[in-house]
Amino acid sequence: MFPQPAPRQSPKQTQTPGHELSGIPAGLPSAVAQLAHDVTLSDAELVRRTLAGQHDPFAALVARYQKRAFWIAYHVVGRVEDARDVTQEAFVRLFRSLAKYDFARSFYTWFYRIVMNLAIDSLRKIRSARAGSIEDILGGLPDSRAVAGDVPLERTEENGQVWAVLDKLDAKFRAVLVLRDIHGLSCREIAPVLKVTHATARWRLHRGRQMFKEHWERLQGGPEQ
Amino acid sequence: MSSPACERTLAMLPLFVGGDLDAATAEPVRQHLLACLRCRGEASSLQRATGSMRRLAAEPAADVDDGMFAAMNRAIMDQVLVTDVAELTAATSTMSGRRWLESVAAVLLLAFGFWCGQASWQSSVLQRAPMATPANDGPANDGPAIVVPYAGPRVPQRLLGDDVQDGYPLQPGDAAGLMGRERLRSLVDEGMVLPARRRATSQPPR
Ligand SMILES: [Zn+2]
Repeated sequence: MFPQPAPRQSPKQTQTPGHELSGIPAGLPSAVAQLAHDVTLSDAELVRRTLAGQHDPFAALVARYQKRAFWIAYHVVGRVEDARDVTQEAFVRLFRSLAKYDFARSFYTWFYRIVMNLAIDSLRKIRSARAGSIEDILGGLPDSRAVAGDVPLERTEENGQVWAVLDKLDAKFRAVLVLRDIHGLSCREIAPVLKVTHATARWRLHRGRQMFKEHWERLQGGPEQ
Repeated sequence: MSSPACERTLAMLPLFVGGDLDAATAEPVRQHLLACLRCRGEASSLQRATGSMRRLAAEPAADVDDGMFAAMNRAIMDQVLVTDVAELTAATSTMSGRRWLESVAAVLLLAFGFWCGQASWQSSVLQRAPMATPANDGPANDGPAIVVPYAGPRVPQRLLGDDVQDGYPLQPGDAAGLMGRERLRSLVDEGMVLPARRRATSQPPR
């Protein structure tokens, strides 16, 4: 049979059993966890309460978005340490600019934009620091991407190849692939996050997938039949 | 060998395999793939590559668990708590105040620039400082200086050593290349040139 197009994913549905790209972490103070889990409290309401002088609502906002922010940053920069720094910095910047939040717009688009800008900056710094180093010459060996647990060996090898290909792509194409193919945002959602038009987001996705496939086949020794 | 239908399909494939085309655009692609083996091969390799990327979502990373996220939440709040929430709005109003001052400064600067431009543009040539300065020890240039550009020689240049001009032998002292007063007088005497006073009343010689 010919390939069927993949079903569309919404960012809030991206979950894998035992490993979540989103969700509220356990181990938070109970007041914070309660606010974070309360579905009747919108993100905008948590922002309003923070601006009114409460701190727990902001901790609840962090709880709602920290996993997503971390994993997006991780898939863009490729290292746990850097992704953690990007996530923390993004929340601190978010807090400092909270008074400028436009309540008519979606909170997560605004926040993801902060995360993505920091992640792309971080990736560019990593790349310029690595240029010409032995790590670069050897083709970017996985460092902190060493996977834990009972992941099959072949899957690990395949993921290593995916990381190697992502490392070859320009940051703007990598960003759109991470948001669409790994995190399941639609092009309509991606465009304002990357501050580009919908048409540009689609073009980058088109070009990004094409380039990904070409590099991926080259890595596997020519096109497969 | 690829037909126009293949070209159209191949151009759509990267978005088709990810489910990013609307139904009306995806249908002709689907129909073509049913019939074309080559495009189908291309579609499945694109889908394999994209699929491998999607599987990255399920890959765990070392030391990343709920414990790390809870610690991160605390670290963020520690950094944030040093900023009083009241400072947020204060920072915003200070910022807007500073921005207002910057705007006023920019407008004033622009106005000054315009005024300078207008002033130099409106002043006439006569009101400007003289462009020609007196030669060494010459008289002071008190009056208005009108500079007339030199438009080049108006009479034929005479070669060095050439002592004949217009068929007349040149006398020593004649202005070389320029019509001297004496030479003009001799031309008037010979009837070659009419003085301005007489020109109005008499006919020029043919
Ligand atoms: Zn075809």
